[in-house]
Amino acid sequence: MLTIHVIAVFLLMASSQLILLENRWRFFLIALAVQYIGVFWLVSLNWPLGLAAVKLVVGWMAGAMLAANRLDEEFVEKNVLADLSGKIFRVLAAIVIWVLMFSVAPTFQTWIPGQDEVLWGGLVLIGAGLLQLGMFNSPLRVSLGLLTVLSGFEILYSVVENSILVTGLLAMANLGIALVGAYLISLPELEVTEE
Amino acid sequence: MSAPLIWVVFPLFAAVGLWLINRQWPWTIAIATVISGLLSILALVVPIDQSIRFGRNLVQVRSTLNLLGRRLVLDQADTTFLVLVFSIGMVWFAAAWIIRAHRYFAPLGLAILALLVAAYAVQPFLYAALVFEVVVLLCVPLLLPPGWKAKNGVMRFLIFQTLALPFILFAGWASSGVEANPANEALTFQAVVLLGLGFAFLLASFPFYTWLPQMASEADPFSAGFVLSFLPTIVLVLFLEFLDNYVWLLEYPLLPGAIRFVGIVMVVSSGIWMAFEENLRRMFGYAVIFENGLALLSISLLRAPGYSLFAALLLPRLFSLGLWTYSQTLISRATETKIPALRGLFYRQPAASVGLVFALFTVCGYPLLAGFYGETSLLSNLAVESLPIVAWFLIGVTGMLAGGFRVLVTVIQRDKPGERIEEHWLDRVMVGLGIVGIILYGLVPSGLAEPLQNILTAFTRLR
Repeated sequence: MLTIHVIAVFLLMASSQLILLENRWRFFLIALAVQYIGVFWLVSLNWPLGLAAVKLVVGWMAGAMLAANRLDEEFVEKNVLADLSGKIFRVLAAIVIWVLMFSVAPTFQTWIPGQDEVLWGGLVLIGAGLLQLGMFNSPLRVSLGLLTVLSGFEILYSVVENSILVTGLLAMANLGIALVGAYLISLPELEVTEE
Repeated sequence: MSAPLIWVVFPLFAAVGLWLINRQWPWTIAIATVISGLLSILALVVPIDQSIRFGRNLVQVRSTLNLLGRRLVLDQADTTFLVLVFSIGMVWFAAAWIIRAHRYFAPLGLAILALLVAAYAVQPFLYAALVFEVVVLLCVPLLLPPGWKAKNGVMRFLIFQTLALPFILFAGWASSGVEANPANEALTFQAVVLLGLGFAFLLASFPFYTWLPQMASEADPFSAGFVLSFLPTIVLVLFLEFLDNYVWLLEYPLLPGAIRFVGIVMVVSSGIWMAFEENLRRMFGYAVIFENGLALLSISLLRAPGYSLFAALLLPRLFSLGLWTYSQTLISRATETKIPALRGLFYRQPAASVGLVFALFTVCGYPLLAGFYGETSLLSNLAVESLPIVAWFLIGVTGMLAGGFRVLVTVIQRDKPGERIEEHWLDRVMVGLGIVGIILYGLVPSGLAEPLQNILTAFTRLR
């Protein structure tokens, strides 16, 4: 039976779709922030609220780190899938992934004994992240894809593990990915010293 | 004082200090060399969990460090591993000083070594995956220092290594379930699949290895050599540790066949690609895949001779990949690394070309070189298990040899006479030392392989 928590799944679907489609910083930051609200919502179903809030804070920080040195620019990037046909392709690909994820969710439930919404949310994010990683190769898109996949995994993992140390180390991994992403984005402009 | 404090926390803090003074690159690399050498000597002489007299005082280095409720454990059985990591690290840092590696090499390299030891020492094992993720993230600025452009290979390295994290964490959770309920076959299968996928991503094994030659050809060659020498080697040791921790895994009937299949596919495919490859740096990637395949084949025997072979193959692997990296870095600074561009290289860079050829043939297991003893022993052990595997193994080795001979023939072809030699004498010394090491190991393999067998004493259930 569906509960109110399905709203979180819709939030995740909408935000991951927006990240996949948009290439403007403002929208991408809003989408990432909303995505982590969804992650927080679903993780809080299994974890204490304080611990689940770590996911939200870390996610927002990761977004801020990725965007920190580019806020004055309007566009994230220009890519070959930016025209209308490319956008339609991305929407269709996301729909295929969603259908796949919703159909494998019952099988996953025999492995990971979580609520339907938690499994749907986790799998939708993993699918969206993998789609992003498969479609794009730019440092920003790769970082976003990895953060999305890890968010999905963290939703699923919250069902089976609630250790504070694991939470802390996963937070470190998320921030590390964002930091490495920011480094790779600004790599061509970094100062090169003669050695 | 505890052992993890000496071999994990201290080098980590030293790495942070080196990062702060990274502009003084000759000093940072020299300090990293000294620290690595010191840590390797300490591992050799300081007994762990035993009292030693220090002046008038009795001092004891404890094996365990408690950290936020979890434990880092390095006991007496782990000293061979520590000596191996830090002594090879010292050689890399010394080489980096001579070859003038970029300024982030020393701090990041030392931090990576410390974290790899932490991944090995941490208990419960699943935390190793999280520590390893931090290592992977540190590898990115090491592979692409400022001024380089982020390309597909490094991106894929980051993606594939990060994707291992969820699988290993879930495998750790499923494994504890199997331990509590060993009769549950579905859960056992689930744990094995998750673990297999996790290690396949981490080790860049079949079918997740396409990024490896790509990364080798796009990143800084010296740093790529460092990363591709250390990371897979430590992952293989972690794999042994996992097998040692979960006995039920050793008894899983499909495991030896699965590991052997993956190993032989890696050996054959890398051999075939090597035979046709046109880029020397991509060839290095295939050599790493080939070596990983050999290690998996030795582990797939799942009995004492197999583990012993794994240990015997460690040094030749590190020798050959190290020598290859050094020679290749020298070559890449003077010319293109496409095979046709290497014509007559022997007359311009004799040491680099000879070092490259020796490294290549060591990977192939050529007689009298370091790889020969391990690879022939592996072949004879595999022959007892399955003859078709031996045939496939030989196909892989033939491909590697074909690639090796192609490089040899190209570098000695002389286009124009009277070319000037463009090499520094220190580079010649470094390559010469590498070649001597490879030949020495080939001539007296037991003398050097035997001490390395002690690395297995840490895995009590694998003997």
